[in-house]
Amino acid sequence: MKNSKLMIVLRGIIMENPVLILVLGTCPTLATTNSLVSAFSMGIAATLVLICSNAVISALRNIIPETVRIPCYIVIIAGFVTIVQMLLQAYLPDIYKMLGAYLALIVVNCIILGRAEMFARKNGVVDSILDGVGMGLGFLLALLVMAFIREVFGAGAFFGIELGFMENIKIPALTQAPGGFLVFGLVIAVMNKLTEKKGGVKRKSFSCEGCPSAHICNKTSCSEMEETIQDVPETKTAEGEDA
Amino acid sequence: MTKKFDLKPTIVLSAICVVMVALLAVVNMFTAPVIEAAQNAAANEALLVVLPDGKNFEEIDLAGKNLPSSIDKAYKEEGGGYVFRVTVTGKSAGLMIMFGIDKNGAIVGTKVIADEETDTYDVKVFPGVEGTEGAYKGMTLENFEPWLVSGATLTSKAYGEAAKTALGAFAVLNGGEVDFRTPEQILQDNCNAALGTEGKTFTKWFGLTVLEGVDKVYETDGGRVFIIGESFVAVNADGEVVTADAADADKTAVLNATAKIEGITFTDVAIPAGTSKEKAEVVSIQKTNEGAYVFELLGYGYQYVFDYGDYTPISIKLAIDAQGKIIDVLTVSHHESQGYGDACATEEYYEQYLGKGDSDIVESTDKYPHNHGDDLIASDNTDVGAISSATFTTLGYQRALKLAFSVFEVLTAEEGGNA
Repeated sequence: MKNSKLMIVLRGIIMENPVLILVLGTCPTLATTNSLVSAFSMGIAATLVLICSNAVISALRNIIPETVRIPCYIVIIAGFVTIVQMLLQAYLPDIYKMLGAYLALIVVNCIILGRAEMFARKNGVVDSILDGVGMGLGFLLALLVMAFIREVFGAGAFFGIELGFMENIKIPALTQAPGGFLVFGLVIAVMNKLTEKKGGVKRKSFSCEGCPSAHICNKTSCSEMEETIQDVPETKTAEGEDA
Repeated sequence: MTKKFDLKPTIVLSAICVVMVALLAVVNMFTAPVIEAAQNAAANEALLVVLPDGKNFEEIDLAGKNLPSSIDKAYKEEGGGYVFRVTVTGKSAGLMIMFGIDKNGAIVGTKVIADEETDTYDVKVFPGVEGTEGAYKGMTLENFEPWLVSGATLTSKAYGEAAKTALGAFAVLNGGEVDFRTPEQILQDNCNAALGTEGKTFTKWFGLTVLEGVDKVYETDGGRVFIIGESFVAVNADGEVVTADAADADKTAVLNATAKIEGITFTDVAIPAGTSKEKAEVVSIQKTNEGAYVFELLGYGYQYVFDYGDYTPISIKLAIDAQGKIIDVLTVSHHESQGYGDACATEEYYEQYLGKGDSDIVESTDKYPHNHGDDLIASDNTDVGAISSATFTTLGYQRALKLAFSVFEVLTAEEGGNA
């Protein structure tokens, strides 16, 4: 029992890391990882919203009708984002200014809506909270790794403190958008390499319900799709599926 | 069989919305005062920039204070000083300036908060001494003198207007009375008062003859208003003096002037052959029964050098009396640069030509190579009609006027010959 609870948390951090494995939340990841402070703030803010929204959605899972579940999730998520915004504006105004529009954009962060749809609506409150903690920490960890690389090697600083020895070897492009994409790609590559050694990420464990292409491919998981592509000619598969 | 309408989704969604709104209201109850306090502290910090000795600023409710609408915020500090936020239109709308005024009514500091002005010429160079913070420092309503910065006319005018408004507001809030109207508004109001009308727009009468004892004439569809010294004397459409308290001498002068104006008749005159000129044109000529010539001219201002489609020639109306002196001049239309060449359409600009003859106006092209923009800009033209920082406009205007004088000479020579 304890092990399964721990697994829920750990899964979000490593095996199903929302940024590096599921490749969700790319926009805030690229936007806020040019400094460790903003990455940390974004990670914490998103984690809080994720935990709260997962808890409430899970608690209301038997009450919310299927037909209006997405509007309900959006209202709940938007409400928590606004609360976080108000608290930051009141007590941490510098962080509030630093995050700017990206704070409000947490509402449309795929990770939060994705976890509501994939996990919270099918599991109990405690498990959903743990999932929120795991996914939030996974998001935070990914942001910190990227921000560390971009701030230290791009700006020659660590949490805003200038690193004198980096002055002549820093690569300013890393703090810009192209540098963000480059670092993002490299970190994903390293993550894939590391998980490959341990048997790789079991992608078939992911549900299709959060996938925007689910209604087109008509499969139950990505791995099933991969098998179909390998075994059967493409045109025939399509015909067979249609039939 | 009709499908049963399910109310549950609506009810659940509405209930979730209500609960979330209630939750937000509770959080807002705690955070709103903290946010407001932080915002006030930030605002106070900004106020200290223009009034460094100010303490405990308090915003004043401007309702019912009879202050101009350009003042959108006013703060009073415990020592009797005030800070006013004034929004005016410079070269573009939304020039927002803060003025700090001490208890003695003197400007202590100013700061431009928002502007869309041109960096090089306008706010950044104004007033050119200590940056914008130093503008109007030490000035009071009594010793107020507007600073006009060449090349940033609109901005500096608006800046001066805003400074005067802030000083006026200080006086009003301390029990004084201030007329916030612009000179143009005062003129229009005085004309309306003299003619007994309300809200009519008066335009300056284009001088076709010299009127004895009258300085200026403004007209509207209901009559004319004559300015004699400080007096405004009106004559209605029926030719009766309607300003009851006008002096008898003034009444006589305006009636004579009215008769003279009404008596002017025009004859079309053919444009003499061989009087054309490059980049200047005579469109039409009329002669009055008093021997004055009225020219419609085109002068190539900015278009003289830069043949852009946006820059069409300046359309000018010019009246020259029988002795060859300018009675009046008017810029009918133009597309010269805002803040630079558009000075050619101002009362001050016209006035420098009044009474001047051909020899008083030096054509710029006689002195400067006309196809070399840098030389023109570098040149320091101080002739009659020269506009600082608008050499191309000056060039076009003066060429048109010189052309009119040369045509005038031909016409008068023809008349002499005919006689």
